[in-house]
Amino acid sequence: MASGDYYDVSAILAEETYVPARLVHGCTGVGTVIDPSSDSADLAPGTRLDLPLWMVPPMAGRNMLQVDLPVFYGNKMRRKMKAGAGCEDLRVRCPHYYSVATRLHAAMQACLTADEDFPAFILNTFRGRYKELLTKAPQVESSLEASQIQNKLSVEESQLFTAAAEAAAAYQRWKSNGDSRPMHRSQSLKRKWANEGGSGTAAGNENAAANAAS
Amino acid sequence: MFGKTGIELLQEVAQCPADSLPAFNEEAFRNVIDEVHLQHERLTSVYNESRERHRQRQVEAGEEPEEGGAGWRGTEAEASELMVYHSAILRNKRLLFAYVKERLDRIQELRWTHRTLPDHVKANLSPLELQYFRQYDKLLSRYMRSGAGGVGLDLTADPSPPDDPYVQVRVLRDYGEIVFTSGKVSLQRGKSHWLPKDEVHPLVMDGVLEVLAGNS
Repeated sequence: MASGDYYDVSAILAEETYVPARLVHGCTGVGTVIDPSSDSADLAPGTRLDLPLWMVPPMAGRNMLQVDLPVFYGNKMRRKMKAGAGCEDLRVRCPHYYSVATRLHAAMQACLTADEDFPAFILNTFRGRYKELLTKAPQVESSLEASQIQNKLSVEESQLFTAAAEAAAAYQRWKSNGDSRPMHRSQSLKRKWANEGGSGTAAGNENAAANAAS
Repeated sequence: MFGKTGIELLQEVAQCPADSLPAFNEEAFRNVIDEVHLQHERLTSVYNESRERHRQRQVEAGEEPEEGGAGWRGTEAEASELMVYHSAILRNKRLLFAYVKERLDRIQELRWTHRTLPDHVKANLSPLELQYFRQYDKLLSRYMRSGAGGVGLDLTADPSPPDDPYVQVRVLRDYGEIVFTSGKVSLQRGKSHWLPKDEVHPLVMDGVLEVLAGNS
């Protein structure tokens, strides 16, 4: 599968997610490797097991596998999302919720087990959470609060959250002293500037520094 | 499961903060390559065995044994086994490539932000990576020099246009005496100075100085 994200670390990590699959013809030899619960090296046709997402598309495309939706995309989850998408903790269920969903759906279409409602469910979930995420991000006061929110977000949402918070912080900096691009070594969400007005003599500077340091 | 060592290797780099690197994990790298060799060996032997079996069957049935690659004649279960090996080999290849590339990207980034390798990073590079840095440094310096073939600009300097050529900075750690175009300054911790912005930029990147708010 030629993809522009061959070297992308997030994409690679997303494909480590395990999904439920059935071996159409079974397989010889590697049974104990791919199914830790198996005693023998050969697996019978129809064996159900969990496989990492990277192994799925090549085999599903050749009809050696039938792959199903994992529990975190199932009916119970859909009901929960309908009730309140923003409050669900996606990180604990599947950190790469959206990347896994797109790859899985493509593989399921290849082996004809696709659920037609699945894309709509994912889109609506994202829509609901995105709006909440964007409104919360500029209001965050501390990095503690930020990390509490981000602990419930998937990896993709977390990147959007960070971007939104940084944009809001840049706007605040611009409003207060006209310089929205600070020259500083590490990026942090909020940075309190010591506002010493204007230049001055060396004594003036040292006084200001002493005041700021105390 | 196949690819476990590979993904752990990649996570080792991914979890390290963006401006440093863990030591080049020779051992894990070689383990992944060994795993690939094993998988390849198993793959070819399963393939050859099933071709042999097919030829035997043909001979016993009195037919001419097929020559050359003529499509799969083994069982579907064996084909599934081959696909497992095949996708595992490609996965390991991808993991190793991503590992090396992630490290090289960071090394390159260090040339742009810090201009040299900090010591704690240098200690963690493999000899080939050190060579990469040296050659990249030479390449970039040659590109940026004034005179034949160069653009004559320091591209690694602060890219944002300044509102004010001078900026107020506070010294974060003792650094000794530095000559700026505005004069000689002794950088001692805690003192503030009024200095040219572009000359101050590399020291800010290294954490020696901290910019205070510009004037209104």
